[in-house]
Amino acid sequence: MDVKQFYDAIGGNYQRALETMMNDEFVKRMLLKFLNSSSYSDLLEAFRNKDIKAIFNVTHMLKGVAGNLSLTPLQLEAAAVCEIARNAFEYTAELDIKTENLISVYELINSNLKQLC
Amino acid sequence: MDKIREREVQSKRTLLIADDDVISGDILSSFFEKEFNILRAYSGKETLKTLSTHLDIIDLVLLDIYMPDGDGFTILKARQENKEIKKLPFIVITGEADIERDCFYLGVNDFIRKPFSNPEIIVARVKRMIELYEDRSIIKEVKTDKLTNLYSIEFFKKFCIQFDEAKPDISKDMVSINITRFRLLNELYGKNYSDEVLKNIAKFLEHFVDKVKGFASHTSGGDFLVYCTHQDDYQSFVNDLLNHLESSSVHLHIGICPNVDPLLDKDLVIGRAHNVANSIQGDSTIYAIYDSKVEEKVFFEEELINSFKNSLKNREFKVFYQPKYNIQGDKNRLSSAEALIRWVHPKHGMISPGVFIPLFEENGFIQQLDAYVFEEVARQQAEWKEKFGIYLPVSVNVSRVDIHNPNLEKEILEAVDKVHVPHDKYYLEITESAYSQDKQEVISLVTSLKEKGFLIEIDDFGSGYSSLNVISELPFDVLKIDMVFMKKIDEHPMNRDIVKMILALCKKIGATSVAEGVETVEHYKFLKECGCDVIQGYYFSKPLPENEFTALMEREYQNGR
Repeated sequence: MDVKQFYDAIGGNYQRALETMMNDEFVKRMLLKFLNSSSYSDLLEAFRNKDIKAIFNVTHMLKGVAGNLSLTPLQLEAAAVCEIARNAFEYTAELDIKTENLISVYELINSNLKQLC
Repeated sequence: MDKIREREVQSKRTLLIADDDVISGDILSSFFEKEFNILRAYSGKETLKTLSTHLDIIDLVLLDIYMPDGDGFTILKARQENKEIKKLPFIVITGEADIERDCFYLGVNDFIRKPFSNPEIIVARVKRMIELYEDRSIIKEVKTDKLTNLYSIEFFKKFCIQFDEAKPDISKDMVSINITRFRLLNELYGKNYSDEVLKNIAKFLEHFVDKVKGFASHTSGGDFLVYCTHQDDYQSFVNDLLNHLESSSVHLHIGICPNVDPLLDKDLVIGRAHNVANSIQGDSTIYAIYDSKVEEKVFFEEELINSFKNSLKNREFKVFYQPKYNIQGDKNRLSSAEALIRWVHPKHGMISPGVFIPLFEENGFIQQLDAYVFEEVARQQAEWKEKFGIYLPVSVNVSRVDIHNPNLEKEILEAVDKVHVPHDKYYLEITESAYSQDKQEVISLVTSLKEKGFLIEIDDFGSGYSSLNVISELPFDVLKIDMVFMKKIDEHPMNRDIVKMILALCKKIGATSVAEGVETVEHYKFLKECGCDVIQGYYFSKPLPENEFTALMEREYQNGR
């Protein structure tokens, strides 16, 4: 799978990714760095612990990096969870469901990232 | 070397990217990598540490707000309290619109939105921010002069305009205060001394403008400007300033433009004040008030200075010779001549040395002119020797500024020896006032020249304050009585007695006496009776150009004189 195919598979914005990062090689390097980062495990841990603050912190970072990598579905989901967590006084069902959805989207992206050659 | 000059020699600027999001930081870095050095920090604590250790090289900080271990707001608050970090521009990287207000209150300069778009624009904004900050720093640095703490000329002019706008009903004066021959003062006494003089003047001017309301600037070298509320009289200002300086080696020339028209361009007004000051440079007057005639004089003098080099090359400077006659004995006898420079200017015709000598003494051209005269006179003496078989002694004037010329003796020797004129036929006239100003240098120079066989004439004897010291300390051969005495001989009997006394003194010490400025037969008779050896003046002849003097010599030698 090449970079364009990856973006097509995950519903991301390949064109925008190229405008920001200039070439496939750099895009790929950043995507693989993202794959190897601790964001996913941090999100899982925050979800497991039902830690609102941790969820906020992870999703806040996630929406930024996903946005810069033009991983549009992940960006949108992370942004949604971030807003709920920002204003939450307690751990709600909505937060729970949204975070679970976010994790699913993240897993899909990761599985496609692993296919990047 | 300060930071601004360091920047000029550094090949790349340095950015600090402070963001715990490693990947976004990598992407941001990639925009700048070609043109910038990049430092990274991943937490608030690390950002503060990097700022403290690398402050001198960082040009701009790109700051994420949400970071662990001290967020962006912590950094911004620390920046507010640290004047060194405050000198750096900060751009916040954020995807959150609602923090912008808080960031602005904390002094943030700009924002870069996440997700990033348009890398070129991001780079351009960063560069522009760095430029703006550097311009601000340069302006701060040049607001005041480091030595004197007075305003730089650019800020001075701005404040003058603001002063006019704030107080339109108050008349104001522009005053130009200049140290005469500042360059020479520096060379003679050293930079430390001249810096102290500058600081002293600045202190006085600061106090003055505080008192009368105004602004002061140290513009350059030995020059200052003051723009202040109108003063009716500047005599007490001048007296107080001179008293404050307490130094006889510092001379000032001050020009005043009173009641400045606020609509006039400040550069024009400053130029006028400066021109007025320059018009009296070298005079005994210390200050002068602007009028349009003064300005005409200054423009004329500038024209003379600009035409000096060409005139020297084209030999438009002519040496005239005024004959001196020995009046003791039965017949008056042509004994020597004084060389006097005249300028036949291509545009202005004959220009008196009284006009151009002070100018050239001020700007240093006098040395070239004197060197030219030394050569011309020696050449002429050699020609007369060829024609008449004798060397007629000629006196050449050594300017008081030339006394400080380390090559003076060499120039004289070269001029004279080139054409084999005997040293004892080449008289060097040194004024009494030159001795008064630079005693040791004059004694040293004169002693050395006498040892080499030159004859020394003390010119304008009686005009200075050191006449008796001159006689006891300076080795000389001829004493020339100041022309002023001759003019005043008829005014008061005492003046005649003084002349008699000087002549008697010359006889006593074995010096030849010369009276110059002799115009009437009565004066001639008086001087002859009192035993004066030689007289020079219109009684015998005005100064003559070379060809006319040669004709005079022919007549004299034909008549057996």
